[in-house]
Amino acid sequence: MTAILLPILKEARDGLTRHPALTLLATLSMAVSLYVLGMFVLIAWNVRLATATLGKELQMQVYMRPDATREEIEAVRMGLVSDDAVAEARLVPAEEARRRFEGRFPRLSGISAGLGENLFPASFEVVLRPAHQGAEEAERLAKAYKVGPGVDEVRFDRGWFERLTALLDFFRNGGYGLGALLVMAVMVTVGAVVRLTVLARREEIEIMKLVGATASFIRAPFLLGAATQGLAGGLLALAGLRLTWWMLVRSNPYRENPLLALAAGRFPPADVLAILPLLGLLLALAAAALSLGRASAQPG
Amino acid sequence: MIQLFHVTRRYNTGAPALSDVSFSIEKGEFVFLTGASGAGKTTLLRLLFRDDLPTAGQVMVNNENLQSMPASRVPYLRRQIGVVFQDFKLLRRKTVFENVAYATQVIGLPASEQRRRTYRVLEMLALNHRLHHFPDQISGGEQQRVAIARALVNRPLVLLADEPTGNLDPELSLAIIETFKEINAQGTTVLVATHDRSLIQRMARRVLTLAQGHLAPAGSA
Repeated sequence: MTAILLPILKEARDGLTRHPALTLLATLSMAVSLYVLGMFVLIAWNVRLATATLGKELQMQVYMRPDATREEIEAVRMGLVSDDAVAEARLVPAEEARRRFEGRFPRLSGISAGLGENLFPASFEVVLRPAHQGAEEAERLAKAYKVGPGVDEVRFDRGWFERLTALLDFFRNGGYGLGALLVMAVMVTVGAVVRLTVLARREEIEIMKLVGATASFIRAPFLLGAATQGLAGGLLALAGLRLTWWMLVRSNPYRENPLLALAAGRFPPADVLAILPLLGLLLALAAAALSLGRASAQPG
Repeated sequence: MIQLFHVTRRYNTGAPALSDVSFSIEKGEFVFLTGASGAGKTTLLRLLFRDDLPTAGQVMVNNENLQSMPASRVPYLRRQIGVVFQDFKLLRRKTVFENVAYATQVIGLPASEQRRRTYRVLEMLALNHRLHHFPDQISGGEQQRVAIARALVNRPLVLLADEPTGNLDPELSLAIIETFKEINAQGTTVLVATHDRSLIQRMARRVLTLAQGHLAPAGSA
């Protein structure tokens, strides 16, 4: 086993180190294409965070009547939390509503205290699930809960809902499309680079065949080499991405433009960015397998 | 060991490289294949290690019909045949030692045996001072000897050599042929393609002569 395995590993190593220019060029080409994809992942991930936060802005308020009983409030709460469209239904008791008012408008706090009774009814702050964040869905809920037990009024801003959901849809759908396009571009680049590498060593492959090497003996070191280059390209892209992000968040334009913070404020975690080296490795491996299929086949 | 039955090989243009060639070489024989440039010597050798297939006729090596041989068997056929190519076909990115050792790696010999055999054959061909040189760093004659060393290292059943002395001085040519004789004496069947008439006359072995793709009758060379 080691008599076969060691030469394959050595052959893979030699293939990379004895064609330094080819290895460097191939690895850098893969790194650049993966870096572009990485930039997209960075922006998409940040925009996703931002849109998730925006989604929370798509709230509707269900105000209870001042005389609503605990049972009525509980019935409304149960109805809301069991609704498929509702992600979160937070009860704001009357006392908390008053505290909020006094916090926001400290100059007017004397008025609310002077009246004695609490003018602020209990209410529910309802956040809709992403799939239900449409004006129609909000309308449906409003109609359903307006006639609920102890409910005084249901409020939401239809215009704001429509503008915000359109914006979220644009980012989601556009993101998927652009992402698919970039993955395809990476596939084409990695495929072409690996194919060129195999073509550059075609004569070597021919000689290996002539001295009795089997197709698998020829292919294995090439596959290992391509996988290593793909992985290295992905890691280089990752390092470049981190450096770019580090420089960006320390730059003046970043401080001056809040949109940049929205698009690249946080660096995605390792499990998100692991896609770069993993994609590099898998694509290079697949491209090498395809390119070698014909080159290493014995004459039929 | 080697049998050809009415073998014809045509180029893509339709012109024949070999026409109706038949002969047989017994196990342990030493045979010269001669003829002018373009007579079909290299084409014939390529048919014997299945680098090419005949347009018509049959080629048998070690009792195997090469036309019906599945592609997956070809590497195993080639491991039984040592080939010295006219253009050497050395791996440019491997050292002299690695070029020769590669042939032992592909058959899965243990590392120690790979080294032992490689050192031995390189010493036999007076190349032990060039072990760590790359092909581009040595002379044409030395490259030719590396190609010979690679062909011999696995002690093949058949040795095919295409103009193996083409780049060597007369003294070294004779030494190489003496090496082939030693290999032949150990049971390896040897077929040497050459147009070096003086070498053929000195060796007094059977000669196959090709002229414009046809095999000349025995004794007419």
